Amino acid sequence: MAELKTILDGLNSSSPDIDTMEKQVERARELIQVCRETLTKTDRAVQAVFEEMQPCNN
Amino acid sequence: MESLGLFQLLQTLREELEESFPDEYWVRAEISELKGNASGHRYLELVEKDKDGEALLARTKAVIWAGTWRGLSADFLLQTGSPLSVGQQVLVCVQVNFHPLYGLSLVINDIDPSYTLGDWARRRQDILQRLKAEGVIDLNKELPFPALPQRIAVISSPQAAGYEDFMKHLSASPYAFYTCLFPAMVQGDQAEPSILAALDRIVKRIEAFDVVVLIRGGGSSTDLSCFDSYPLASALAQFPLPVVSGIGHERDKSVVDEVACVALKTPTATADYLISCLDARWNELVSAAEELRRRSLTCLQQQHYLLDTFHLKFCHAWENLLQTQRHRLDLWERDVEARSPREQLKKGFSITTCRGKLIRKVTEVKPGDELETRLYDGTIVSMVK
Repeated sequence: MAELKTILDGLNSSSPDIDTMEKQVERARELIQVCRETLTKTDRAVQAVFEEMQPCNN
Repeated sequence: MESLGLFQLLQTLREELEESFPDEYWVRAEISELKGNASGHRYLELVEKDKDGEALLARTKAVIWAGTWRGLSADFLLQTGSPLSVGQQVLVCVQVNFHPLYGLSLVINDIDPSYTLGDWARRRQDILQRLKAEGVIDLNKELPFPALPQRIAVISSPQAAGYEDFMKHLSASPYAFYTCLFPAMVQGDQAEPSILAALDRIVKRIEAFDVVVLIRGGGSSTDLSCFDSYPLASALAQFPLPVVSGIGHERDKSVVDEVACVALKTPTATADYLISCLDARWNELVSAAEELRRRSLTCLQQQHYLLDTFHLKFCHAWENLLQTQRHRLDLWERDVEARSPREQLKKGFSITTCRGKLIRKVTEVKPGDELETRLYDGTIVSMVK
């Protein structure tokens, strides 16, 4: 997330090097994908914990 | 010198006496001796003591003929609950009799049992007054009665049916009782010293007991006069353990009953009382257990409810967090895509550089400069005119 933030900040201050920018955009895409996957995995883990908690409920 | 034969003298005395005391007389006295013989006659010694009951003021022989005795003794027993015996104060109807051979003797023709009963009542009253004056009368009653009176020092006659009843009753209950018998006479002259001795033996093992039970066996005798004793009542009143009396009485309470922590009518009633104490504790336990169950359930339900609430809150919080993060990622993605140079070029925009420097303004180039214009699919090189 921190890297993504840095890249976004970098993209906002214009850079002349289009190729560098393009690389950064690619990296940002990757990172966003990783973040999405992490979120999904975490959500699954949390849902599993909720499932385990279920028997306590009346 | 004129003289008389002894017989003549005594015969004259007899005639004088019979002349002076021709009737029957009601006389108050204490029986100090009472003996019978084979023919059924009863020979007594009657005395009168001074106010303190110590010095003898008068003493004489008396007799109850067998024929009189049969009716009198039965009537006396019926009315007082006690046989005529030594130590009793009696009101007797007598005829003065003098015999030259046997001397002075009173022939008892009747006895008034109500006088003896009255005397007992007075004696009981005196003892109670004395115990009250000494401040001991309520001491045993003021002892806290044990919550679980299970260790019982029993004072009784081991052969008594009442003792057996007591034990049977206790063992039929669902509770465990530990009893220890301290044998004692519980009627007659020996009752007082033998019960006092039993109390002494109990004191030596006082830690082993919760209560003292004084029970009298069943049987024919209803004589309770031995329980109207000052030394006995005083010892029981001041005894360090609560005393439960079950000595049985058909008439008024004895002094022992008055000072005992709890006075009951029979050994069976005494056992019932002890069992009822444990019943009460048992019921308290049952209610306490029920209360504990009820409160635990309520508490558990409350905790479950709280957990459910937390669970829901946590679920919502997590959903919110997830959504926020996803939303942020969407925004960033959009941001990134918006900033992708390739995407810009795709839309038709181009980027112009001159000697590697990005050109933003017209003034940054001059005629003759070679410009590189980057498009989506390639680069155009051109010259400024």
